[in-house]
Amino acid sequence: MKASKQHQPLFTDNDWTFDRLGEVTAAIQEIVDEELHLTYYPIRVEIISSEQMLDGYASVGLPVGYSHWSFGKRFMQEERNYRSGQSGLAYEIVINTNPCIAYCMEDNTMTMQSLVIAHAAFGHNAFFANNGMFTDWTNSEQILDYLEFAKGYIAKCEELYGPLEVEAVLDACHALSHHGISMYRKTPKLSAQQEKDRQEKRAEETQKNVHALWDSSTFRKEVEQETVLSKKFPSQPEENILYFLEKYAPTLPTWKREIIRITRKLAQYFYPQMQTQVMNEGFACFVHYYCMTRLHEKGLLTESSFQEFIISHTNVVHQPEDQAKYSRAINPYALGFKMYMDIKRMCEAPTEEDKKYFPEVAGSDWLETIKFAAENFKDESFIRQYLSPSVIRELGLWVFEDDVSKDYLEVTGMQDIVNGFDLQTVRDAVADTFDVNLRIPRIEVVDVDVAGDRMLTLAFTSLREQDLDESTIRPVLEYAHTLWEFPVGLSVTEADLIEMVWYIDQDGHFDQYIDEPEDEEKSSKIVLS
Amino acid sequence: MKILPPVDRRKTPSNRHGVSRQKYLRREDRAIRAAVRARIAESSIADVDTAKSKKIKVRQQNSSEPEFRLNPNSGVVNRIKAHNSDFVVGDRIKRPESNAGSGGAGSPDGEGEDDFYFTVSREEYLDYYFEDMALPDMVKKTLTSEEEYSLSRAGYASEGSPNRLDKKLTISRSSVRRRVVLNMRKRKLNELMAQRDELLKQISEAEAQGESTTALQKALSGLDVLIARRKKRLLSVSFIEKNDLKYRSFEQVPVPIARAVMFCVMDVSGSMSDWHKEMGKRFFSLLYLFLSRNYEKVDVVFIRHTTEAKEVDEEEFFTSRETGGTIVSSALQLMSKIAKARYPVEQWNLYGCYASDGDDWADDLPYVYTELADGIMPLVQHFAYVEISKDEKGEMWDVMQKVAEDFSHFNASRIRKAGDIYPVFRKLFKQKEGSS
Repeated sequence: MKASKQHQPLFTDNDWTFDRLGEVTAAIQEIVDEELHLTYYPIRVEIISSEQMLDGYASVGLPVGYSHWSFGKRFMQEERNYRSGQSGLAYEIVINTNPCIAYCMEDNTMTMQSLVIAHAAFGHNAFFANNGMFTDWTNSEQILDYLEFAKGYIAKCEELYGPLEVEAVLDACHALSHHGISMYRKTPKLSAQQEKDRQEKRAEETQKNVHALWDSSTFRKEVEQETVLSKKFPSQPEENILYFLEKYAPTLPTWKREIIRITRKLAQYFYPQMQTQVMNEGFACFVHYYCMTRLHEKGLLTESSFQEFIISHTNVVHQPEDQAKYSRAINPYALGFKMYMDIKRMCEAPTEEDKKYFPEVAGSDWLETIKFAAENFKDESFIRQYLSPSVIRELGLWVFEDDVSKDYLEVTGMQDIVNGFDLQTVRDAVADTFDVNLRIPRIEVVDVDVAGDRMLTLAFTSLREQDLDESTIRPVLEYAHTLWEFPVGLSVTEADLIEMVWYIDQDGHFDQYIDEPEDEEKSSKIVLS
Repeated sequence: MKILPPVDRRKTPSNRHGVSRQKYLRREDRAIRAAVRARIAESSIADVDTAKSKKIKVRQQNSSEPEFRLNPNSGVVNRIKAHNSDFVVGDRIKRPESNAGSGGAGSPDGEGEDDFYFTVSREEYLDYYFEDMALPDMVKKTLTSEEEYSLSRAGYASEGSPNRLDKKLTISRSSVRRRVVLNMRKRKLNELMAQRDELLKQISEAEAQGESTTALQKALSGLDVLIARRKKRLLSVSFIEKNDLKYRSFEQVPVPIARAVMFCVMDVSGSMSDWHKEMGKRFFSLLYLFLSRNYEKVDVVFIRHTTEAKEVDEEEFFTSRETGGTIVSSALQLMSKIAKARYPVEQWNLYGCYASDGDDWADDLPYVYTELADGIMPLVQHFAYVEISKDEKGEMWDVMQKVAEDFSHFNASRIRKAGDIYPVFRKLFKQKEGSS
């Protein structure tokens, strides 16, 4: 521990004032700059009321945005839970912008404001500014402008085409927003100005694309050249369904394409957030814990403030005992915080076990190692890389196989090192738990019947032998139909090669057919696989 | 600059959810309306008029947010839990019963997809409640009443009652006065001090020349007394003087107001049970609430009758019970008498409502018609007859039907059960096509 100069506490009673906020921010900044050497976006702390916090919840934390009934519904739900005392409100909201704005609740105590500033204004901020998922995929400079642009554009559409027309498009887009993400391909970053500039040009280009695809003369040529049968469209399955609809829907007017674009751009913006929950929260907890402890050591926090902090902190990183089967069984704050703390421990005081499993981490410079870990991974790879036996033991993690075809659950991995420690089973299971790509069903555009009735076919690929929840198929297909405007289908191939297709026909009727393969085909394919 | 100064965002108006909320309410319009009606049917009328916002349970029809989801009860998934103390690898655990097809596991909201509780404000609630209802021939809007005044500010006066004292103005006048007085006294004091200095100079000059200083000394001691007195007074400026006091002054300005009087007339003869009266009360309450929304001021007159009619207060109206026969015309007579005496048509909007089980003495029926047609209908904006009866139509029904035929601002309705009250009321005031 560093030798500490003793200071007067920054505050002795627990009411916050704007002056105190400024003083505490400066004191934390000194620690972050001089001891943690973090880089981050400029910080602005804004104080908001509980009403505004609810507002923030309802619109996924975004400070500006277009209006939609679903946000109103969410607001009313949150408000009810809050007013009836079923749930408290978060202490802060922070989003990935430059400058970084941390919204803090007015009813926090001064101690809580200090915690929240360290956590959000410095911790999350530094994570946003340095983690590759965010720096590669999002544009923190532009998001506020883009939101303003999106809001304005949608309001203009409501004026021109009527609120109900716009609502129908947004409803459909929202239903498919998890499928409006390019998971592996980098997409250009957001920019409001570019969007405006390119809007017209894009309309032309899109019409050209659409025209090329649907032009019957091109088609005739291809028939003549006999390329039509070998040509499949799209040539590769497309995971970003909204992107596909925007680009290739045969007769959709331009403004609807633009709305699809706005919703998928926003979905894409939030994708890094979904993929780095453990890392991001863990890192923010690590930073707030470090800073608050140092403030206390420097004599800048009173004992009672530090006690209050410890109680809050412990609640946040607590791993509860009781977990429902399908709820997220692991508290991401707890896991993330413990992992970073453990990396620090392995650097500073490595054991034989650490040297065996983490030769590169054990004994290295802790600050460098933690920054490297925070910058270069997403949850799933971070867990596979750094989840250590000691964290697994500390949390008492264990894995069971849940195979619905069996009437029992079988324990397949656990923390017990005596009986041969199976690190990989536990790591994989935890990594999978936080892998967002395993939670969203994998559904891709596989075919468009270009020459025929223009049917768009989506295909579901089962991972881990999981099925689609059939009740969700029809309503979502109906929404897809409103955007494609021609028949749409969803094909699911079961393990025994029975192909089922749910579809909406041209007139909007929903139906299903089941295609059973010939016996020979069945057996031959099974051999192949 | 890495750290920008903190900002107070609380005062920035943020009603961002407001538009979205309205969109949601509109989307669930039918469901909310159904929920409000259902609530009205099962709750007391008094419930409507509380100032509180209402929590209603809405079965959403239109607000599911579907997305493709995995079936949680499928597949082969390695699940993870914490705090193991019981198991080792290879253990088999019986699958917990409750998980099999656990209901609602797929709902992301953590509540049934369909049921949704939320709160609407009293205003929103009443809007649904009285939706597309309107008062027929609504308001004599230009009514002026010479007896109605409102107080209007008319500057300041130096006299008035203590509660109208304008403290800020008074204190500021006092402070100006004190400063002026103080300065004046300081100036005077300084003059005396200067005189004294002059005198001292003269004394020392006289002493130097060996002249007598007795006269000068006498003058000096006189001056010193004066100065001492002035110094004492300097600090004793009174804090408030009568001249400082300023009172807000008001004058009475006559104002036009829209006001209505509602006559509640009810049969309390032996055949009217508590149940009848309860139904009547609910109907009256509803009418009162509706009128209150449309008029700034609503007077209520309660008239009950057996063979004789009597004006009573609300308490007696609903609780007292009498035996005896029924003469309806007596009550109608009393109503027009009171109306003519206390509620001149030029100054009031008159509404009447008569609740009864439909009984009347046969001899009286012709008088009922003439009392209504000649006495009451020319005075009122609207008159409603409500027959509360579980059985057959009463003797009065035909008479009332006839009045309804002759006067468009008369309505006759029947209530058989509590659930009828609101529909009947709606029917009465249902906005007619084209009117507003």
